[in-house]
Amino acid sequence: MISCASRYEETSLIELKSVHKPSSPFESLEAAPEAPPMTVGHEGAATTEVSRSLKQLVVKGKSGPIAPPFETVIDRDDRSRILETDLPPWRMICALRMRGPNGAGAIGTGWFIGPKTVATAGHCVFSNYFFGGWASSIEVIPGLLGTGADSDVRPYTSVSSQQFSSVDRWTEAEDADFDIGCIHLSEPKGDEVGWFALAALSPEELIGYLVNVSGYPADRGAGAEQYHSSNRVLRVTERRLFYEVDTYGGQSGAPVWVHEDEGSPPLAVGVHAYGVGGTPSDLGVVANSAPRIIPEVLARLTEWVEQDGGWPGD
Amino acid sequence: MDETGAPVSEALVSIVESTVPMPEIALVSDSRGSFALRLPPGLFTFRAHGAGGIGEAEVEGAPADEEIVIVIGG
Repeated sequence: MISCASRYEETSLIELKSVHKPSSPFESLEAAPEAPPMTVGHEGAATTEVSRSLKQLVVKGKSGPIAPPFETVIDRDDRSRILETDLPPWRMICALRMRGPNGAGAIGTGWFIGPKTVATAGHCVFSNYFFGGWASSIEVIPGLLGTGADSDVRPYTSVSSQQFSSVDRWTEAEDADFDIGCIHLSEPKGDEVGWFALAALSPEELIGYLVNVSGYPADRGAGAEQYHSSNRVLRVTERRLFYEVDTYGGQSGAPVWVHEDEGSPPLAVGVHAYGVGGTPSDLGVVANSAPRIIPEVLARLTEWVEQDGGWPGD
Repeated sequence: MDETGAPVSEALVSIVESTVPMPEIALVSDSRGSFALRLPPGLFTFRAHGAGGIGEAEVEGAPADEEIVIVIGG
């Protein structure tokens, strides 16, 4: 098991405020609850069948050192299409269809972190560049398997929302280190499809882990097919996680997760958000990246789940 | 638009290279084949996937109201 006690001592203390899409000018916010060191995931009640893709594709545990030449190769596309999107953990991952106030459409990826809460990148819910502010509405489609609207490709139908949250460091400055957000749902779709466990692992704990990223890219299947890729963590900074995992536009907001060992459940440690252009040159790697789930981010994610009614047994 | 100049709706447009960090989101063109966004200063390569194939355009940000034309299949 990963020790949780030291995780809150690794990063300098910052104050991260939750920001919600206003539903009325008089909305007031309750004080945020304290975050747990780790949250518990749930496989979902829909079926108990085990995904073969989970066994064959998902990487687990830590790897040994990778030889330096491999660390600059990212242009070989190693993504695999997931066909068992009705099974965990794939069904916890959702295609997002965003729409802005000006009618602008966009696609992204989200993932359940609680019965009624879907985590995603901050820019999927709020972006001055893409929406001129908050998105107007987002359709959440768990486990989407292809184009169309019938149950064959939408095993868990879909649900739309107009309630979103992000953090002040994103909405005020669009700071890539804090590019996180969430979608609040009106129905507990997560009870059916399940949700990821969350943990704020320290940089020391993250180094060497094999990470998984799965989402809905625009260049394959028109954003309607789920693709998974995996590799080793290359670098960890105070607030970001860098990895050589193939991704593309549309996979913003996808979960970045690890498995502690062969038998352990998926544990989300970051929110995929940036391609190689988002990697500082002084790191000396060609890599994609995610804001890490640092303790302050975990506190906000926990707060958002609590606002939606919390986890069973809370 | 396609090679004949006709609008391509439902094309998915991503920024695949940039000199500044840009999120991995994809925009969807509307029924007129249009999409809109603001850009910070920098150089950007847009790639569109739509009916008929793929197209790319290189753009220097960020003057407002500047049109970006991507020819799909070209």
